[in-house]
Amino acid sequence: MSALRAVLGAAGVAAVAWGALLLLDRPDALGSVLVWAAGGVLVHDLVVAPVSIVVGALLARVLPAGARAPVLLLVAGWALVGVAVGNVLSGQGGKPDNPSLLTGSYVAAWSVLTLVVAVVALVVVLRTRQRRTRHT
Amino acid sequence: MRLPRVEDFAARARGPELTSRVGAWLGVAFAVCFLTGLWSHLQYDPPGWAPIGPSPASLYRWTQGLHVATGIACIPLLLVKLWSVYPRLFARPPAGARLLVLHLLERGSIALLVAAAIFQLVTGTLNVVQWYPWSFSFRPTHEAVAWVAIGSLVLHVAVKLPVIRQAFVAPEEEPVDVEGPGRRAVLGTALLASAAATVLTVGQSVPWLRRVSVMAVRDGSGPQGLPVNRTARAAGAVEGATDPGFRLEVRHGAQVRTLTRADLEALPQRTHRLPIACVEGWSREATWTGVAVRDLLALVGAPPSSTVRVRSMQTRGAFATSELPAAFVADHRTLLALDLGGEPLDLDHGFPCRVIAPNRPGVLQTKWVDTLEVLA
Repeated sequence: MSALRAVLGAAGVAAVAWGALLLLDRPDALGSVLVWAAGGVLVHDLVVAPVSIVVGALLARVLPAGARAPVLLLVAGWALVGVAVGNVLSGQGGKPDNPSLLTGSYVAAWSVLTLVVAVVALVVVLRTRQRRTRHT
Repeated sequence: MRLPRVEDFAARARGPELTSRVGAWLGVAFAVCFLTGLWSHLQYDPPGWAPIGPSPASLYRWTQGLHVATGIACIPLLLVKLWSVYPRLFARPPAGARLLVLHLLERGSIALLVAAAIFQLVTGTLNVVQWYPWSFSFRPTHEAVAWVAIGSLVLHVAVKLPVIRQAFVAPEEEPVDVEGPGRRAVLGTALLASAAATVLTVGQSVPWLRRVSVMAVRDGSGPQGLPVNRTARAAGAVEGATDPGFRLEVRHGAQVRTLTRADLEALPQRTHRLPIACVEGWSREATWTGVAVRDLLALVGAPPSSTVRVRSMQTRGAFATSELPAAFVADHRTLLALDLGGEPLDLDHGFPCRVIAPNRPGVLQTKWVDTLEVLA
């Protein structure tokens, strides 16, 4: 296994070096590349991750025990898909003279999806409450 | 206030078992993305050894559709992967110089991987909507950082191989006394979110999913039922393209033929169904009619196995000229198209004439053509 690891490691370092050489081909652009590369990590580590952990913890506190896991996962899934389609939800991009780009009604579609997720979450919570009352 | 510690982030699902499994899916998706991306970059300036030709006609449509779809599928997986290891960010460095150096090296390689991975997914998804809030050139940078991403990923696997092996061969039991959803549920959510994001967007490349893909960048509409990437106005081609004195020049050394659009229409016409497949992942098939480029070369005595430089009347933007390699020129499906779906080309589709060849990236299907020059 250590031989495999050494080969993989060397191949990885070589690929990184090749990428760095390609980047150095265009030194003018390097500053902007570094800003965006470091910016992505900082936004994730200082904003996205802490916010999702805090929101998760708050939701867990509010939700009844039986509904906790399914509702947390539902909300997480909704947020994950939301980030993945963040490009069309941003309202940015496109060209005024090109109606064949950004053809959808993204905010409306996302609102409907969000509503569906909220209703399902509510149903899960209510059913948990109901079951609990019946047991006591 | 103090800095958080690893133990502060108790969650039942977290651990090498979940990280390895999400990581395995993510690794496969990244590999597909990297290979299809590399393939796409090869199309722009095909080296002699690359097996790039006109067949199969829909190959680029598939590889580039797959590239963008797997890229989008990576986003939820990457976020869950990062969530699963986030507490490690607060691990205190070990004592002892040698261990500290190893620790910092490992941290550095992970920072590189995370930065490159986020960079690729962000720049890729913004390119798809043609939003460029940066000052670097998208294509070469996306290619360079792809090498950094795949390299640091392979390095990361090499470093973590014992942990990954352990997690698959002898996984630890899930803790029962810790709050939160279990591993299987979190992995399932990550995969479902990834699948949902794909289905919601992939309609731009998979026509029968168009009605489900409510978040797709394009629904396949456009002038003459075909999307446009760059309009005639944006390319600064309106004036040249609408000039009634338009002439196409076909050049082969000293031999030159000039043809009006009416002359082109009088030549033998061929009709083919060919896809337009863009680097942004969208594609759509259409019926094109025009003169085969090889038939035009015959007018100036050039053999059909010639490389041709195509020049556009566009005055703005990249790719005003493209090179049509001999393998494409020799194929009778490579057209200088005049009509789309039985009507004269729309101005935004390249009126008075444009190149359409099988298995080529859309940006090389040069529009508003005024010169074909035989190179060799």
